[in-house]
Amino acid sequence: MSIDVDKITNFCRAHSAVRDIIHEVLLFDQVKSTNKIALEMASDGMPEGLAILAESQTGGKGRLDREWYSPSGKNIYLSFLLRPSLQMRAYPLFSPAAALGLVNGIQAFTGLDVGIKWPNDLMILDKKVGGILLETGSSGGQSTPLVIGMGINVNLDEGDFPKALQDTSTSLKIASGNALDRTGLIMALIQGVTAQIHQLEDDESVAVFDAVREKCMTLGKKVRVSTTRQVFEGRAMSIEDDGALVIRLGDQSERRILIGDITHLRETGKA
Amino acid sequence: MDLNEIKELITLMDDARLSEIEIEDSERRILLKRALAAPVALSPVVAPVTTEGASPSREEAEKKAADSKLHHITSPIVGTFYMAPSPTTNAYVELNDLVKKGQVICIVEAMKLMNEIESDVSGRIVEICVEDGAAVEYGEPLFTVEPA
Repeated sequence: MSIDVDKITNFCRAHSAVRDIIHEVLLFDQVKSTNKIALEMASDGMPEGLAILAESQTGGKGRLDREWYSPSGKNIYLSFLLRPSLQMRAYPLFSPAAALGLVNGIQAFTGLDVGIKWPNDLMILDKKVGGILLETGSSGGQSTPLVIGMGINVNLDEGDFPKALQDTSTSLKIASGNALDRTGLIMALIQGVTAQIHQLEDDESVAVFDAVREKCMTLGKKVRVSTTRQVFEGRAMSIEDDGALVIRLGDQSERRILIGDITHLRETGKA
Repeated sequence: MDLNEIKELITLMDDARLSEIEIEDSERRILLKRALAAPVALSPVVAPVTTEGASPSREEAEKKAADSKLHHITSPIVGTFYMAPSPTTNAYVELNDLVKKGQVICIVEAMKLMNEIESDVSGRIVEICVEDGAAVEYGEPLFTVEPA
């Protein structure tokens, strides 16, 4: 079943807390990526408050231009175009806040318990079910746009994933055993994410991060951190109020990180 | 002699518009000097200093004048600096490239926010202040641009 964009638009406009953040919704059949469309529209001067949806993406991407598997008609590819009132130095806070909003939206709609792998991957057990990539772009003569791109694996079966992803990825259908109505799920996701954006804009980021810490399955785990410059291992100890992950190294020193690919390491024989 | 007494001396210098005052008792000697209309310098007498610094050399003055025309593009967030949109693509800009105001010149990433940084002036890149992949602080200079 295809996405019902009119129903989603009406939902956004009918709920004031959602409408303040998102009041226009556009659905495309196929795009390179919903983030790219949102950034182009921002550059053309489109005001904030827009959600872009697509049935498929030909160039869906993650961090450092990695491909995001984006087949047609089964998943959710959703980008918000915002022009936040906060200073740009606070924009990174939207990353874990969006993850928390998606976790809450999925839980409300499906009852599934989804965790966050720092900073914003959505996980069911040890498999990835969703990812978020945020981008800023050309202002188009207005305040700097922030685009939050969200991809959720919804109705994929195990055989639908490319072989390279089968061991590391899952979908909400696989986890719940049921195919899901994407239109209803999208409304729940928009409601979840806009609630967290309200919290940030109301200067309630402490409450956001308290909730993120509860959902963050990276905390307490032994992890490998990979950046373009180095790889190191340690234990994830805490998340600070600016979102930084604190890693305790073997020599008991601690490092704050704001970027990097995190791998949760298995610990055998540990009590 | 305590700090309050020194403050009183400074007030006295102000009132009398003195450039120098020297007080000596059985234990110590205090010398205060200042250029008039400039901050008062306090100095122990064993190494007296004045507020007059050494005059800058002509080369330094010329460099300072040239530097004052240069423009720094700074990081709007704490994060990691990338010269290119991905590890397999070319850098947005190279040293000595001409850039236009509004042109994307690098990315600073924090927590999967890829923050495209635009040049806020038109001109020539005369310095790339940070290595690709390095951590940058809020407000840290990323590029030096000679405005066109």
